[in-house]
Amino acid sequence: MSERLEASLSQALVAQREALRRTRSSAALDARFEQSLATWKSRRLRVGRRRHLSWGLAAAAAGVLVVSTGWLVMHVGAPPSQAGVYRSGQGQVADVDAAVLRVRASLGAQLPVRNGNGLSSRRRHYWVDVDVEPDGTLYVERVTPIDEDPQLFVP
Amino acid sequence: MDDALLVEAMGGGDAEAARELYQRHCQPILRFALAMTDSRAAAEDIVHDTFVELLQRPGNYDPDRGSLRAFLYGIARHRIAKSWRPAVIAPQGSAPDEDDGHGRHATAMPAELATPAGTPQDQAERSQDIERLHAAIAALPLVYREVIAWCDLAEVPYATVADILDCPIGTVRSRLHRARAVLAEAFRSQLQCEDARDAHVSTPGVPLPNCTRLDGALGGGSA
Repeated sequence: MSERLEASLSQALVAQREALRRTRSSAALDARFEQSLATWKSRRLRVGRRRHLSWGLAAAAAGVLVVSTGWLVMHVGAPPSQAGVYRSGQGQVADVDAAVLRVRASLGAQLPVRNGNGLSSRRRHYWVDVDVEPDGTLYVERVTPIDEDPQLFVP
Repeated sequence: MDDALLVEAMGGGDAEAARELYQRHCQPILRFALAMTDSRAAAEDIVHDTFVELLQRPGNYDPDRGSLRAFLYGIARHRIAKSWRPAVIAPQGSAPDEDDGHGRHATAMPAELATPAGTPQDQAERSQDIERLHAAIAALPLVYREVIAWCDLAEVPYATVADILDCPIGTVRSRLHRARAVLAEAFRSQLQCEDARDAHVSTPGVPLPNCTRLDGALGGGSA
């Protein structure tokens, strides 16, 4: 029984294997695949076209944004003049050999200042003349108390 | 051209590459599907769906993880498992090719798979054996059925099966060994049922054994 069974089983398996080896896809299956392939191709084309359109729209939107920003910069907020502006590394303050600036300085009242006979704690004012060289170097040329040069003091 | 390059070209929209891949791999996948399913229509559905999935998601294939053939077998296997139902063995003499409502047939196999050659008596015997084999295979748990289908019927190399199942070749061998034993048992049960049926016909008092589901008698299958 067992031997007969094994022989029958193995013969059936071999027959089945050979039959499978001879199997070919049917024309119907090939046609179905071709149809799916055509659908896939047309869908890809549609998606591709839609993608190109999206990119075009995005590029147009970016262009509009750039143009409108440029227009706003030109017409609404004019850029500040570049003349006379010190830029780091340029080594030149302005198109002059040198400049002297007079700066008003104040000395706080809380610090006592020696004044003739004793200490005074009132606020003192000075003119500080600052010489600015073309290479950017600053020199303090003179400090003048405003009390001594009252004609210069303009409150 | 290499399969991986063809898949890449197909991903870029090359229909010719897709067609070439179909021509290369359609027959082996069809053989596996036929060995696994009960009807040619179901097998062709699986082959079609497998290639459509490759068309739609070519990026899922990673050449570093195995061959394209193994990848396609994996898709087909997944599709079969999704619609898997253990077959019910129809008694001999009943209408064998009735649709079960899901496009599948109870025990019917494609006609070209059951046409043995030889003398009329040989043909009859082998035809019966093949029918028994179909019934026994149909009743196997999925885990055994697929290794029988790959290794014994579709002649897929063990290494490829190991790739598909993502396990060592040794595991494939041991699972196949167990599957063959279960198949032999199912085949034997089928024979015993037929003998009992013959005895019942000749002597009506002899009770018929319950042969409706072999897979239940064999136990569910983890390898």
